[in-house]
Amino acid sequence: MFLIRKHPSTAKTDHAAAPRAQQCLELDVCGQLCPSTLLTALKVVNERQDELRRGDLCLRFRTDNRDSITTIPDALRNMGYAVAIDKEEGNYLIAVTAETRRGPLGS
Amino acid sequence: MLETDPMPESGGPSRTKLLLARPARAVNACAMDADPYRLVVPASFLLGGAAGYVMHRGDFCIAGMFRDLFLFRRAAPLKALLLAVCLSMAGFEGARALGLLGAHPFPLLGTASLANVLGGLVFGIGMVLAGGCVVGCLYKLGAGSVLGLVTLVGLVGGSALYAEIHPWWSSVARSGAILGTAVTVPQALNLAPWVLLAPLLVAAVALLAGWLGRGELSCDVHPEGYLQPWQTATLLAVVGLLSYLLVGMPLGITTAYAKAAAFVELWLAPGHVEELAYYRVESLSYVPPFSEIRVSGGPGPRLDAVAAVQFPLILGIVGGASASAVLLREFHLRVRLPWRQYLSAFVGGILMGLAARAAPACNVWHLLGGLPILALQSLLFIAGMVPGAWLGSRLVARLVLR
Repeated sequence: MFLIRKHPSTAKTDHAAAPRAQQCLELDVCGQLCPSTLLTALKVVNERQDELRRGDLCLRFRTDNRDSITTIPDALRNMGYAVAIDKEEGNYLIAVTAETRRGPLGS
Repeated sequence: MLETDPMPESGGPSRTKLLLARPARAVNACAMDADPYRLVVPASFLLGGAAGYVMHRGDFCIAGMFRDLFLFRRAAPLKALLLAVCLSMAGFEGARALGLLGAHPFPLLGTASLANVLGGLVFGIGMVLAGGCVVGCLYKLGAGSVLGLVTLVGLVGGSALYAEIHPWWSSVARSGAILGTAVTVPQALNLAPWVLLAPLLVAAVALLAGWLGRGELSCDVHPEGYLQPWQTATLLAVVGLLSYLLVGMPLGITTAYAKAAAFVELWLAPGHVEELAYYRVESLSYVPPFSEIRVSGGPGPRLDAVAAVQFPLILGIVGGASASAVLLREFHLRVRLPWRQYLSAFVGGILMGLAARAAPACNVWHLLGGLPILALQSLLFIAGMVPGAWLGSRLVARLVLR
């Protein structure tokens, strides 16, 4: 069972004042067995949460799994992260940063 | 010479003998006859195409629905499945009441045995290990999933394995037979179907109306070209009803995997195929809609009624999903994947292939076909499939995707 922990603070932060991530880590989970995308996202976010919350790190998950687009944003938003989705060369890119203010969500 | 197995596709006394005992108007064709199949083949293909397209757009993976319930406590997709079941229930019963259905219960649906539970259990484990059920792997394969292809190979292998153990399993299933010749719950209780279906539908409609009103069958964030869960469920229920009306039964494909295994074995070891009683079973005998000719078929290596119904359906599902993926520019092949996932997909396919013959049939057949008419086999299959999915979820999380 993979727990989705709620972030204690729901205060909005000024987007312009938020520090830019210094490192962006991209993980490619295209073609993998379901539910690899969601499990990988939860696992890596939990493992790197300190760097994420400090703003030192942003994560990008490259996936072709359509179901993960409907599950990951909500799951990570509930954990206090901002999620942005883009489509590139037929794959979906799910970008995760630590901003507590909800970022743009694309479809 | 065709042999009628006392335990064909079912877990109870032979319905096949009863069907064959009816006077046939014309020739009981073993070979492909263009007349009775002129509607069945194109209808199966087009309905398969529609199902594959819709399932890809909506990512309607039934295996994932049960798996994610246990892994992530995510129940929303199951609400869409309930919608599909209820719409199918209402559609089938309405068509039956209007006299539009050729046979009710539909062909290939047998009597009940406790063996159906065991088959469902093994199937549930297999579908989660494979990352998708029998139909799920087809629409994912159509979108370019290499693991879907590996699962397909496993499905054929598992079906071949079943042929080896069929005599033993038949005796096990016979010993577990329950409720006599009844195929559905209404039959077992000697009630008209609507007596049980009506209150179930009223309760379900109340639930579904609440969920729909609160937007629980829709997703705000979704991929390109997405079909919302309520849309996908509705369209699949329509496809299932059309299949029943035009082909003579809801969507079902797993006997075709056994037939494919038989063809492969015939090529590799023709003498061995002759020795296997399972490939001589005639599990299907019915008069297709808008025809007056009785046709028959089974899992053996011959082009017959099973081939006419199920091979076009399989091709349609793959083709429909491919079309959807290509139009979205989402068709990709990835082969550099963790070995554990290849192994899991293959083992899952083997288990599903074995279980789909033993149960018999698969989750789509039972959930979207048998359950809407309260088929006893389907209820028992689901009773085994759900704990099987739980067990499969534990295995996939701890051993495969760790």
